[in-house]
Amino acid sequence: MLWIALYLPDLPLQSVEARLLPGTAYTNNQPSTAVAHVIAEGPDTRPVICAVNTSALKLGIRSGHTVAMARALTSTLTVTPRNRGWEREALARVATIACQFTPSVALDEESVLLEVSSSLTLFGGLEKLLSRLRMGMRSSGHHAQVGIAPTPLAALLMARRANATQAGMPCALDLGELPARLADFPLSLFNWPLATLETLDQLGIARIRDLGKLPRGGVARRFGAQIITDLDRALGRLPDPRTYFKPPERFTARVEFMREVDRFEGLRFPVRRLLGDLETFLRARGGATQSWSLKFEHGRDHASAVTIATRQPTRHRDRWEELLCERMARTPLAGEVSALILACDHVVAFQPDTPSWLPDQKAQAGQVNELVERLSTRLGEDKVFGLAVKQDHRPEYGWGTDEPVGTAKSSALPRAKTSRARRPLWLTNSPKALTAHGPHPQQNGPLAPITDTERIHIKMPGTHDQHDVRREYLVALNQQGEMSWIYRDPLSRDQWFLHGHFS
Amino acid sequence: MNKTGLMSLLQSPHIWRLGDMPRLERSGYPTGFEALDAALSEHGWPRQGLTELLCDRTGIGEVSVLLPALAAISAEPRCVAWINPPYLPYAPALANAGVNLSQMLVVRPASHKETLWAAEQAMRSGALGAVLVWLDEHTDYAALRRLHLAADTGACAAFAYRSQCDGALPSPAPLRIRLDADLSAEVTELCRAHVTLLKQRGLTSPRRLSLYANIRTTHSEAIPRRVPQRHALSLALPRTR
Repeated sequence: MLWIALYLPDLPLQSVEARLLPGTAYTNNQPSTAVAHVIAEGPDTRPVICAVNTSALKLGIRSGHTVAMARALTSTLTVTPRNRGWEREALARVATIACQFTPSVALDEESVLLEVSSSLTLFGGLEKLLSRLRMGMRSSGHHAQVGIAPTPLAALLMARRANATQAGMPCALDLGELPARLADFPLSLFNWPLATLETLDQLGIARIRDLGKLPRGGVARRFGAQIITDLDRALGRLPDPRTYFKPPERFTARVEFMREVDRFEGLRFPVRRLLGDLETFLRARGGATQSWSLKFEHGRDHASAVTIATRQPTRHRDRWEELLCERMARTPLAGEVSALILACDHVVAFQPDTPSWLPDQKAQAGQVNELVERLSTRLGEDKVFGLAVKQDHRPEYGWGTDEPVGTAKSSALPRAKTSRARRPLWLTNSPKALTAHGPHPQQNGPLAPITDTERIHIKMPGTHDQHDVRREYLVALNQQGEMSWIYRDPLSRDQWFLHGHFS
Repeated sequence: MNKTGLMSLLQSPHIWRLGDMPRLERSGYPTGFEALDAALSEHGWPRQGLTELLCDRTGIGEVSVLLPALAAISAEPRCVAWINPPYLPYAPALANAGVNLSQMLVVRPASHKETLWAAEQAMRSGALGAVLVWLDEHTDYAALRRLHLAADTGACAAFAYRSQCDGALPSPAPLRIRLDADLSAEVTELCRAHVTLLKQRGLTSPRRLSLYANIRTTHSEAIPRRVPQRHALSLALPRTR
């Protein structure tokens, strides 16, 4: 067993900074830290600060100060009320990132624990796995202190201590070296009741080493069995079963802006982060999706949404982003945006591409798919289509639109069935009535027939005679050398219609 | 002008020297007309880059001249995009000409700007074998140059249909062809076009030939098949460029 603990000491601050954005068009990956930002909780009359950012820290503001004290230190202070719902979401987000690397992910207070011993080979070792984990967290707007140990509790203690020592990442890979490594750790790293910790401190028992020397029975009687159990679990003497985190069935994520954004360019960064979270979510679920929707909230009452669909299930952020940009170029924002919600309901199993050495047809079909997606996102779904032959003798029904390109069902249509009769390459959208001078219909001059008549008579089943199609088709030529396909109703012999051009 | 000035002028990519023309291989897509194959420098339609077809008439076989090439491309199979066609490409006629319909992609943009955008995307993607685009409105040199570069990058045979009045304006397309109705052709011919090569690498003056031949694979039952026998290339007077 090898556990990685991710400890987020400033979770209240992180959860807010990842989801409440200033709303200016900044492009760098990190939100601006130039403004002192604190999270406050407690009664409205006397709010107490529970997390501070680095610039607030530089000004001397600490957790535990009241907001009034902090305001005395700086005139520009952003205060956000603590939101425990967001904190839970943030922790779940980090756990989802962790789920990409192992199915065994557990939540603890302000921390996420991963059991990675079985995934090390797949990800190329602990170093690579850690750097990918850190990168995933950073792109989602999170960061954590990391500890590694053979037991979850020891990993957690190491992660909590990581900041205090400043000497790189504490790490123990072997169960045997664990007692020696933990011996120096202060007992305050445990989540024990404050009264217990104070009493132990007054007794001169500050470190794990000191506690280990005491008789176990006496300690358990005086401070409760929990303390001995925790100590044994940290050192691997007792099993420490954990309930594993499961990513949710659906994905929804929300970003709010402190100031409203009026252009799509200003939304690029938060959209990118949300789509990155969606990709992470799908990776954690081993899934992919064909469609997702992005909802723009304009103030309290109005909202607009765009839905982006791809032809193949995918989980590729850059491609989504490109498609969204094409769509937004076609339909601009409906108003100033105060919040974004990304939702994805349909998750299907991910089919990885089998890599091939030579460029094959599948890769080419993928390229065509991407092109079709791009075109139909920008121009509209109905503007891009494929062609197919239909078994119908009425010429205007002899073709049909098809899923654009490459679907097997259209190419499977038997070639021999297609009519060998002479057909024009261009079909007019609807037959155009031609004027006539004497016996000759006119189309850029009089038309002269050059072939025999082809009769098409179709009795529509279950209808009366007036729905029958009776036509006499001719290929006709005008004096400019343009060849067209015209027809008339044999019953009303004078009216000719133009139905196509022999291009 | 001194010698360096002349040399720098000759280095310009806009100037082709007749003596420097490499003999191109027979790499093009066969046009289906022996006379036209022989006249084109690649012995067929170029496999990449922009080709301009200047035509004002509908129904003289202006698209049929490409059908053998489209049949070959779609049989590879590679995809063919029809961007902004004036009418609907009629599937049974294409199928009769041996074109694989599953490789056809029709795009009907709403404006000229969208047409240019879609054409450039399609050419650049590298996924398509050929792109046919109908440019209804006047297209300036810069836009055509973008299309040509996109078709070159994406290794795609691009065919742009334009009005004949644009023929007098300069264009970056390496091959420009004018299509006129051939009134002397027999009335049963499907492809009744005079082809005039306006611009081609190695071409000194516009060259005109008429396509009497029928497309061999098409309509073989409807019309008696004709073997192209006369490749009489009649030289026409150079047009003002």
